[in-house]
Amino acid sequence: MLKLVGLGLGSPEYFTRAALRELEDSDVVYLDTYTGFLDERAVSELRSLLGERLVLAGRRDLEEGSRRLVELAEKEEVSVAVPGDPLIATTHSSLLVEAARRGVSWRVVHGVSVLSAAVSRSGLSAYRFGRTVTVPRRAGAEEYEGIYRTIASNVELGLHTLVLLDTAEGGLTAHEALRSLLEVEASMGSEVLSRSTLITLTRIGLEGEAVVCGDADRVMWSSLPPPPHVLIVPGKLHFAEREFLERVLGCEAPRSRETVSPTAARARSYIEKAREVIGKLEVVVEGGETRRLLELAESYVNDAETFLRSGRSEDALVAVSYAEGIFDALRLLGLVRFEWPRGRGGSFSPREPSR
Amino acid sequence: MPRVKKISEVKEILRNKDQIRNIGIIAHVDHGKTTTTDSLLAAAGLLSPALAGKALALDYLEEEQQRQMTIKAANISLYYELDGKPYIINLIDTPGHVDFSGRVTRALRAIDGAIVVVDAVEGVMTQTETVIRQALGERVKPVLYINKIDRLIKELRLSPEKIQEVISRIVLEVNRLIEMYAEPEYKDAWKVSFQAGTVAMGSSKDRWGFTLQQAQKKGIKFSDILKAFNEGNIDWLRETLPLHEAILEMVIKNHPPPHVAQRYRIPKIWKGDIESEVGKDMIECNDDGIPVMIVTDVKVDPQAGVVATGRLFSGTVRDGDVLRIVGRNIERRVQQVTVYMGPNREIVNELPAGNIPALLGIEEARAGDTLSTIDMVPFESLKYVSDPVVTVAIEPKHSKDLPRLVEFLNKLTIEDPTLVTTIRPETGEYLISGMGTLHLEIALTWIQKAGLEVVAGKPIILYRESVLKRGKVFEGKSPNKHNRIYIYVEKLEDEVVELIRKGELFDEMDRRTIAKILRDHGWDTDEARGVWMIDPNGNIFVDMTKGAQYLHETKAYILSGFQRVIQEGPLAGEKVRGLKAVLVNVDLHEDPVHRGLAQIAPATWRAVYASMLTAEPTLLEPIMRIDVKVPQDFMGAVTSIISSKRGRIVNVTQSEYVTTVIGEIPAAEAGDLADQMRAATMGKAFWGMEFAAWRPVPASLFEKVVMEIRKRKGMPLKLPTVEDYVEEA
Repeated sequence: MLKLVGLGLGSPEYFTRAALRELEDSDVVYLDTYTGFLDERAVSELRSLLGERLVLAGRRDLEEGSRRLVELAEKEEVSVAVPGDPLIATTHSSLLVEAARRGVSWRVVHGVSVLSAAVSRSGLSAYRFGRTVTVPRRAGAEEYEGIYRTIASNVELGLHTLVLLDTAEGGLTAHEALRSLLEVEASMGSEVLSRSTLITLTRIGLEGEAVVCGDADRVMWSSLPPPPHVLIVPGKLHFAEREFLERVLGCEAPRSRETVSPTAARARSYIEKAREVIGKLEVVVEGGETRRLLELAESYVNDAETFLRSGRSEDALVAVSYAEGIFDALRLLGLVRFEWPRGRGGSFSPREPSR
Repeated sequence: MPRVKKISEVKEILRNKDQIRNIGIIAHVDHGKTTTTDSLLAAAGLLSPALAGKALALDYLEEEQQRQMTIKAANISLYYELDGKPYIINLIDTPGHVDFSGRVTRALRAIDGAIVVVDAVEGVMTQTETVIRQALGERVKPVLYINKIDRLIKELRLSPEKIQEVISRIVLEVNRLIEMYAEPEYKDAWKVSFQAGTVAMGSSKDRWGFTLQQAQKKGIKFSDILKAFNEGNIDWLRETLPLHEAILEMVIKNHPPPHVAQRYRIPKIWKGDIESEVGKDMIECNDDGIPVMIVTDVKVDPQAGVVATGRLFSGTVRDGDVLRIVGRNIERRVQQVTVYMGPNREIVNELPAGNIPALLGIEEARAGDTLSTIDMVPFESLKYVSDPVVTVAIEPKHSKDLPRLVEFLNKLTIEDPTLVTTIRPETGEYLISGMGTLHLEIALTWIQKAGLEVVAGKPIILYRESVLKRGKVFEGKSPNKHNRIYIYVEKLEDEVVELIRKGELFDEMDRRTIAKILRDHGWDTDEARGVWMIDPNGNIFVDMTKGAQYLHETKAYILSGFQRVIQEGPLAGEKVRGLKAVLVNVDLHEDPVHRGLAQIAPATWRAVYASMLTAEPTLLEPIMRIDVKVPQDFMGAVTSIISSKRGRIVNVTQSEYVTTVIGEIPAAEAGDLADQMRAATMGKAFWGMEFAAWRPVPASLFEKVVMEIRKRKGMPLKLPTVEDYVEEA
């Protein structure tokens, strides 16, 4: 039997009775020492409980040695003890795939994961988190850019981001990660993080737990206990969330990211341009269908505004684009004369202008 | 006539471009390049005349003197007056031995004219052909000097008619090479002839020589020369027909001054936009333009430090100027501008375009670098591609010498980038790799000369691994099994490998230029655009994925996995050459922490290794071209030695006095060649070797050679299989 046993947040206090029982019943226990954090007390408690049966396992043992491990589990009770919840933010699912493929029986024992603890401790609504991301210990500029983009796209949708920080090599601090992220942000000419409220959660469930909530400056200047650290970037705040940050976490004036979806922003800018065109347009050739078509275009612009007010930004964009098309067609036929306003960007133009 | 000029006078001449020539002497090894140089030096008043012919001023390294070969390029400014007008001739020495031919081409870039020296007895040899081809390729105009005429008279005792016949044949052969290798517009204009005054003949050792015009002007007939020679009246010959006069007048009259030459040479030797400001400056050889210098030689002077010598194509360099090493993001201040006068340097403080400055203070400069004040297209790719074929392990006899040895090896590789030194960490041995056994012998002599006692191991032949066809697509899994990388490999076209080797295709190039070059060589547009990396060993990595997520963030990791394959092939851990790896698809984990280097690099190399094993992997061995001149009686002995060494005979030509055998043998078989050749020909064979090509090891030897290497490296004595890298489906 192959058992994946979650050990919780990293201190012995978070060992569950289920975990301890399964470990005791094992012939050998591989302790994952690289995907999460365990304090010294936790390790020594496991050692006194299991003695020689405890094997400290590095990445190679559990990844490259996975086949050997599963083969062993055909005959013996093998446990892999993992900080947190064993299948959350780890790649251990491949062990179970291998076990299933070889017909080896398996079991999972859950532990408390930082994923739930951090969210819970932040007071933010679990329903309003976007994609989670981890900052590796030795991330390069390209990786920081990718991480930054994940945060920014969550914020754009009004969602919070849980940023896990690598625990390898003594652990990455929130300061180190934030400094690199702010550098990337500056180089991209953006300001999502520098204008946001941030939450750092350090040593959750461990001795010396601390939570700091404030703007980037406040976080950068506050002294934090040693890792493990976790960072949360809130998106749009519900009033209940805002209250929690203020009253419970002691944040002065939490900032909610009032986000406008990019589609809505585009629709608004196109509508403004179309209105400007309607105001300035000259009719060159009267008669025929010109007036009727202009009226039609104007009604599409009106529709677009109505859609936008009721939150249907995709519909708004489609409607205003249709109006643009009619204006352009009339102009190209020489029936009306106008110029699209410049410098505000966003209007459609053919990618390959005809020569 | 010879006189020592004051440096102030020389400086004045260097300002008038009409009075400058930048030339080189090119020749087959031992045809007398260095003795010729020395007799020129004597006349320039920079060396005592009595010493010329013996001093070998250019070959100032002792072991070069022993070998009578010029190994290190040095530079000399010569002074000569013609019709009352003073000229400075910058003579850049180019090594003739092709073990180091990387340097020959580079030096050619700095010169506008070349004196081709041909031994009257031996005639046009393989390296004569090589250097003429290389010179014409850089638009360097040739003139011909036929040396060792005295041997025709003294050793072969030929009649005057025979002598003229031999000489005419040499002229004819040189012209045939010009016809073959020159670009159409220079084919006729650059042919050499007695009538045009572009052929001289003489004896460098005895320092006499003449062109047809000079002989006529002085009213001297060929029979007078023969008579003087037969009477042993060398002094008369030397006084009446001094060699330097013949050669330097030929150079001044026929070789272009720098500003004339740069008009047609820059568009050929520089790949940048000639309409740009810097392009125009170089074409016009503009003293006030943007300074541009190509470094052709770097030496470490014990007092002055690094001395970077090369051709200044435009602008003026002055003491204290700040120059940048183009493409390397390094800026350094010029401490001193000097020029070479024989082995010595003279301080000139500043030098205008068209000259050959030797700069102090640019510590990081290496041969091949372009120096300027702006970022421009460099003359050469950054990486000098050396293809070492032999390596030897050395250890200091006394461990206290280790720091000095390290320092000395470092100096060696600065001066000669074709020598590669590496440390083998497991054993603490130092490995020196070079272009041939001779190259390594010379390096070892240098080390001993520096007072360092070392123990050298047996030379080891370096192989390359490659593939012969296209392999299957393989899925490489990361150790955590959450990332999959799909790659196939195929043989990279020989012509593309050659472009990379010649430095015409390199990684630092603009991607659009790379795409264009590859399309011109038959690549399809998408592949040509997808090049991620060009490895100087002759390998390319191509990305053909479409819209793959997180690819940008993992690119560096994928390439580092590929790098490992290139450094250690699957068969025997030898370097890989001629491999094209194509990334077809990737499936990556959502979170960056689970797709780091430790995951992605192994996934990549697994797929590449596995695909290589299905693409007919092969081991390439270095093949040397051997060129032997022997008296006809020994021809059979020579050909049978070559054949016995897995060699083949490429060509045999016979003239009355000597038979030339050209053949090819694998470097692995050349170990005791010298002894056998000496024994079989009673020491009468004259021969040279140069690296020719990489060729697959014959199938009958393949496994034996692979296992020998694996054994030496402590690898398992079993050929790898696909299953060693990827799981069965």
